[in-house]
Amino acid sequence: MFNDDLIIEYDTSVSFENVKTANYFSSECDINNTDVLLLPYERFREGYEILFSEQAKEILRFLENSNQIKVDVPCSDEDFKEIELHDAVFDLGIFLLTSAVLPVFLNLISSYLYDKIKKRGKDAKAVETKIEINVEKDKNKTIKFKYKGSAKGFVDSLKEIEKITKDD
Amino acid sequence: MIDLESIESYLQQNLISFDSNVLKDIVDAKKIYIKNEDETNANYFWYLEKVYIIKELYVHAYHELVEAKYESAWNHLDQTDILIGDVCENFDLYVSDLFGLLKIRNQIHDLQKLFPYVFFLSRESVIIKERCSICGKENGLRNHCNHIPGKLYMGKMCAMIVEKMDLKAFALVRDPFDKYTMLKPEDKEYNYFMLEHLLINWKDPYDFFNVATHKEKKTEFHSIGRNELCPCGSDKKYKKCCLGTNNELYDHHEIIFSHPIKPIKKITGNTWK
Repeated sequence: MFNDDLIIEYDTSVSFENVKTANYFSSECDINNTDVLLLPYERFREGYEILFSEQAKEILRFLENSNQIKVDVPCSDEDFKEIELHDAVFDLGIFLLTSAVLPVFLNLISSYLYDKIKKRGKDAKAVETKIEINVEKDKNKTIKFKYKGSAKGFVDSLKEIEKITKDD
Repeated sequence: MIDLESIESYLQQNLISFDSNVLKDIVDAKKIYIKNEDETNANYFWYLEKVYIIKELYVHAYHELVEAKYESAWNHLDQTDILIGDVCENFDLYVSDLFGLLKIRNQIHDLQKLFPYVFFLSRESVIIKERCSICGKENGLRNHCNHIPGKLYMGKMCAMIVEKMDLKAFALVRDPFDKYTMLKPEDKEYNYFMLEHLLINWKDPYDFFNVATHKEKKTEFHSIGRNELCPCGSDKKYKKCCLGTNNELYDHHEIIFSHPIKPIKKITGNTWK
């Protein structure tokens, strides 16, 4: 069943090659050996060209520690800043990844989310989450999945995300 | 040496009054384990210390409710909830909840539904520099220690100490991370009628109840024709305005005890007195 909270855009310009040309890109990022990039919010707040969600470092380390995928951030250490919004929405961030690692990534990110919800004693139907996943299939062929809705709805839509990526 | 079994059986009780000597024994034992670099026991005694504090705070909040100190009770319930969350980061209570903390947490979440607070302030800030509370190392993107915030290390919980931040804004939100930030307009007084009615029957903080929430239609929408003006004051027809939307509904909370109680008629009230 189609999930109304999931917005899909086909053939977007987000790609590993295009990230290399971004103003914020830094050679500190080992982009050629990376499966997943955590991308910033651009011009989200005055005074900062880029910002990351408040759980960004925690999510990065969770993904790194899984030893299943290689994760990096395209900016320098100095430019990396997190913005705390201090509301109850789980902002998982914006990701760019290759289609080969999509199943592993979805499995990891949903485990992270469910573990957080369980530890806080919340109901997955009542917790709001947001995430943007850009899946690069071939050069210049990227599908963007934007989700904002209940955590349960996100986990329910994982199969749909995988199927659309496979079928496209 | 401390008698672990007697401390555990003390903490397993539905405590109403608290013996501060027990807490002192727990803290002293934790210090010894830290000194001996026995991490497993140091962490376990951190857990016992938190169980004592959680139960004491929870009972304290209950007494504040009884004394109609609602705002303070709200803050203490929130602190209790946060502490239980800290314990859950390190001990899987879903596997073994020896001291009944999950029941307390569920009760807090149900109690929070009965408070009239709707809007909260949420801080927006950019973190410029933070440092690990365990080793003191700066927490950079690629250059960082291996300590994980929220996890225990030798009887101490890791936290990131923010040394420099840039406050950007305050937002009005319905579901905040910091629950102590509820709005308090000067000319308004909160209406705690749901708690007042709960307390007619709630005589023991460990007499756990459930709150079932149903959506019901607001009274002013009960006998409105589709083509009449919408009661919300928009000057639009009801069918083109609130009909079938959440605007015409409110949350009805039903408090369910596991034993017979004095019957209470269905009551409705507003956020403000």
